[in-house]
Amino acid sequence: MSEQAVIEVDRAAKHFLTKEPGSYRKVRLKAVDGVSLSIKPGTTFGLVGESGCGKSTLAKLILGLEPLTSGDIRFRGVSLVELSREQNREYRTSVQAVPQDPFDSLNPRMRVLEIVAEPLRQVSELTADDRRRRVAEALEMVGLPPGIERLYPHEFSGGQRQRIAIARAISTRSTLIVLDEATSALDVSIRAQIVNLLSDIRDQLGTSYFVISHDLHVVEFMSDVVAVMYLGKIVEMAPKTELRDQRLHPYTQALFDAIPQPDPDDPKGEAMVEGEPPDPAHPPAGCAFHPRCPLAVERCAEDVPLLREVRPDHVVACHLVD
Amino acid sequence: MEIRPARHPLLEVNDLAVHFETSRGVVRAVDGVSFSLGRNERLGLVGESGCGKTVTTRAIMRQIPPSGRIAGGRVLWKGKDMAAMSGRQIRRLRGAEMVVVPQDPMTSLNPVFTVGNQVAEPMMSHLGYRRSKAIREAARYLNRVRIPQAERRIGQFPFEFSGGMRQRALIAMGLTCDPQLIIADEPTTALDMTVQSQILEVLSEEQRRTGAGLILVTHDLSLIAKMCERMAVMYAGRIVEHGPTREIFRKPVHPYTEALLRSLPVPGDDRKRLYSIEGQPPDPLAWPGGCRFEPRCPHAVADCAEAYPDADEVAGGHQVTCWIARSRAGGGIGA
Repeated sequence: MSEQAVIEVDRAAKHFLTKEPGSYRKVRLKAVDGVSLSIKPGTTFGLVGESGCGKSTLAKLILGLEPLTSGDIRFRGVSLVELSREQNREYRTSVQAVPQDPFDSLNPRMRVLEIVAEPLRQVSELTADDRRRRVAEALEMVGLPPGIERLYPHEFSGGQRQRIAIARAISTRSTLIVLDEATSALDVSIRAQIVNLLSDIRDQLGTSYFVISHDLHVVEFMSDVVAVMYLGKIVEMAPKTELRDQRLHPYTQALFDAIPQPDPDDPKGEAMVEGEPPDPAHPPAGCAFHPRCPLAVERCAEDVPLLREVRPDHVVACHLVD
Repeated sequence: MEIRPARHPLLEVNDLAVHFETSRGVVRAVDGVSFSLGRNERLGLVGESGCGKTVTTRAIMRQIPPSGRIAGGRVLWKGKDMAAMSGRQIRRLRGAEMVVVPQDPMTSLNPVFTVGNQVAEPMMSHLGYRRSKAIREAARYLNRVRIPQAERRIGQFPFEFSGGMRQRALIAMGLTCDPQLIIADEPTTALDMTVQSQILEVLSEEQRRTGAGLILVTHDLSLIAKMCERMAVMYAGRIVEHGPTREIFRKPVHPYTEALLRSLPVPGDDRKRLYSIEGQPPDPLAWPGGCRFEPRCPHAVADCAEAYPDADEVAGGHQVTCWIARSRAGGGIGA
């Protein structure tokens, strides 16, 4: 390995006990079930999947907001549970998040200055003046006009609020920003502004991103590596350009073929698979995708396919791929 | 001698204006929108949030919230002015001849009635069917939108249906009284990607089969490309470009349409940056005096801020509301 990863996720699992509807029994819901990945400095890791596949749970694990059921997550080589007090502080300041909804995620009773400065309180050596300077820098970087520090969130539009949330995430000079559907609530023209802003920040600060979205085009555009998740597991992962040419897992193909293209002559947008994702509390046996898979054979219903490297840096979990 | 009536399109919207009274002033949400739609036609209405696309369809259905009113213009249904119709006449149309497929299948069904009951309801109120017959028919319609085991499913409640199944049920409900106009307002926004394509297929098949006119309201240009032969782009309460979808995608004339199309990431996109429109849509309380896109338009000239341009036909059936439409349509764009 050439460069130390910012975050390494090693066979991470997160199970929840949930109540079975209509009974008192508890069932084990494997929201994230043995996921491994690593995020290199200055790169963007994109994760796509349908609702309920566990992508947001994985984001919470990386942010340290949920304890793991099993497996390990390492920040610069050190397991999250073994971080010293000092390392933990560093982890907390260098891994930040930009949430989905800019209308819910900013405290309406805090001024912009307080919102953006909040993560900086973890950086103990900063004086109040330093903090104010950092906030001004961050706001300038996200393209907001000077002198807005005393305003409240309601005085801003959705796109501007998302810029404030991004300013908050970069104010600590963070090394990894988790973007969970961070552009989904925005209009097309505003979304393009935010996507460009994120790429400028990456170029200037060398920040890494962990991008989650159901919008495949945006994830593909932003990412260096793309992973596809289905029912708690990564089913395919490869560098973006590789995945663009070689979509090997039938689910990846179905997913990418299902999105209509902005081109009236492009036939894409056909329903390739039947049905809907299964209930994660009751996953099918064998390959979780087999009931919907157009290519499924007998073996798919019995054996769980393991993730294996079929081409350089390209892993896929499917019995039918050689 | 019999005089044959002049042929009217199914729906004509002429210079429609919808205003809302708010504590901060009058919001002119829809401000002079005109288009028409025939049977078998599919029109895509696209625009960003707040552009007035949903309010336009609500005005067609005469379902404007109490704070709003239709301040001008006319909506003609088969040549008849809807403003002259009584509440009763409109209720007879709504849910029968003109139906809406709503955005959010999770909240659009009543949780305390079975799905069968809800799909059967329009047949009982509009066609006078008895309950038993209506429920039987409901099963047939659920079957038609490919809900498996429809006979068993009609006795179930909405919570027992997945999101995609609920949206199918809502489409089935709309079909029960032979609609002539289907308004689908972001019908797949709340659904997963693999389910979205299934729902669009069902909607598309049923629209063809019934020969109804379809208005698809969406912010997603890709859906329009897939579904509609004709599209209208709205900005700040007005239609800025209107014409054949293929032509507009190939050669958008209005700078706003062009910017929207160029700001989308496409597969195999090797651009470093997306094209972006600077600034934000204007405040609906105070639309700019001239062209409403002028403050953000990279091509604006001096005239643009002076007055709002009229729609200009740049090619057959392709109208653009832009002062420099002609020179832009003439060539040299798309580069």
